[in-house]
Amino acid sequence: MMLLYKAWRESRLGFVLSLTALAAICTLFCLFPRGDLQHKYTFTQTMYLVTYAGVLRNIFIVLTLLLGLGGFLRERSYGTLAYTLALPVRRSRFIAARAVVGFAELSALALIPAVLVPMFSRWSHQPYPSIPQALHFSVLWMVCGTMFFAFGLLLSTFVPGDYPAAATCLISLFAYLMVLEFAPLEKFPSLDLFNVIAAWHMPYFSGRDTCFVTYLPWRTLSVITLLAVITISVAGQIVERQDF
Amino acid sequence: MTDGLAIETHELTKQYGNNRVVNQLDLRVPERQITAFLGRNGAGKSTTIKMLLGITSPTSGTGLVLGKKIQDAAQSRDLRREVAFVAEDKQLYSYLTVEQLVRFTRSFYADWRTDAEARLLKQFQLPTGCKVKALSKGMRTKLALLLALSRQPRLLILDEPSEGLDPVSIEELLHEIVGAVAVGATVFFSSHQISEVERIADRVCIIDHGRLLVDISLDEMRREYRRITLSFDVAPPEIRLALPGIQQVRTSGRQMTLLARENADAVIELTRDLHPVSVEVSPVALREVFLETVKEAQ
Repeated sequence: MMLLYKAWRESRLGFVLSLTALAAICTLFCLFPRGDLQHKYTFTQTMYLVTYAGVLRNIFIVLTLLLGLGGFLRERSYGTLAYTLALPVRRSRFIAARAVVGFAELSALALIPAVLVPMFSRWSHQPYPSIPQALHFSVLWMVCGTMFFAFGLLLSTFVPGDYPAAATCLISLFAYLMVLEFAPLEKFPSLDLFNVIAAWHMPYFSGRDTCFVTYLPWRTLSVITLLAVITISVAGQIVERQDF
Repeated sequence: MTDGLAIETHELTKQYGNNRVVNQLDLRVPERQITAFLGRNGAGKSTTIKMLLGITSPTSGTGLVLGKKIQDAAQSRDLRREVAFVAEDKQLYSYLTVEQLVRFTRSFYADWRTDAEARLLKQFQLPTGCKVKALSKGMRTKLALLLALSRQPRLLILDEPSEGLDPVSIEELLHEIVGAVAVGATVFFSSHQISEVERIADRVCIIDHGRLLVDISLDEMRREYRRITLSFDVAPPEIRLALPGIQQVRTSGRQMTLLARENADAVIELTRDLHPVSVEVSPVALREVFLETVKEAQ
């Protein structure tokens, strides 16, 4: 329990800032929708393009990556590592605690558009699909966000320093986007988490109506979750063997 | 565990690239005694301590702490339950208050003594509601000591525990250390404060360039080590004194000074052949032994 408390206290500031930033940007998008999009699309479609498939999604992905940073290498730079590692606890349990807290935090972030977009739509008398539809996106954000978070967590086990780790995260993200540009990979749309998270061109989502037409891709989501768990386990194994 | 040893290492070595920080260290720390670990900055003290606690892994060699293998992750975790440790830099979670950090640490140890915690909080005058980041270095050191001394560990490993403390707090710390040994604990501490070591230590290990140079009890040191000063009416003879027990020979003007590690009487007898005008024999303080040992190693 105390390890969860430690993980929460260490990530609290980053989480609150992320939550505030995401909520503020989402609010801005809802209250001041982009005029150029509104001329071409309905309010619902505009909201979809700027939030679930647009800037807000990209910001969410970057924030989840950054939430994964921290851990032992950061503690070493702060000088607290000797105290932490002298506790009678397996190192991988610290990673597990960070993963649990991180998942809870990114889940909260994933709920922001699902709460704010329908709320502001109602407030500005604009039609918007039901809250359960918005919650479908939250599920996609949670699962895909977990993968990005897990990747950030893994990076934090071998990239020391907050800024180099953050820079490595962003570079990795660009590298991932560039890899997705390879034509052979287009046959596997589920590899593109940016599209999975937005349900973009996915058979379970109607872009015209901007609503889910069938069940969520549970098999794809299960595979992504499994990959995230494996990534976190690898991070745990790395720190168990790491020399500080 | 070898009978009566809290810490035992065999050829313990740690190498970073080409730099051998700890070099085939054979350390033996007896149970229920206070053993001081002396050495200059960068001698390998903190790295040795980190290896003992499983924070860093040895490049080669083996080690046992309280009978548990330091290289085995599960055994290392078990031994940390019985070891209280104060790290060199005394950095603690800055985002917690003193009270929160005490509560956090308490949750990991079954041997926590709330009475000792309350006593030390009062004694060290630590502000419980204050964030760790707001504490001065001295207060942070006191807090680190409180977290270690509020337990009843079998082994206390303290890395320069008195650094940054005021004289009153140092006295309290030394008192606590002696008190811990009185109730059955073993204390292994590194320090640059030789006067403190002389006051409380039973045994001294001196390390330099990762090698153990001296491992001796303070009683033995006081009994055996002697400074022998030979005065001559002319310049001292330029001879090489290859006598057993002589650690160091120095000449200055008409005087020759010998540091005898053992057999001082035999050394005195042998130096009579040099026909000195006078021979003075004086006991040697730990400071002198330390300085001569590390100078010689250089």
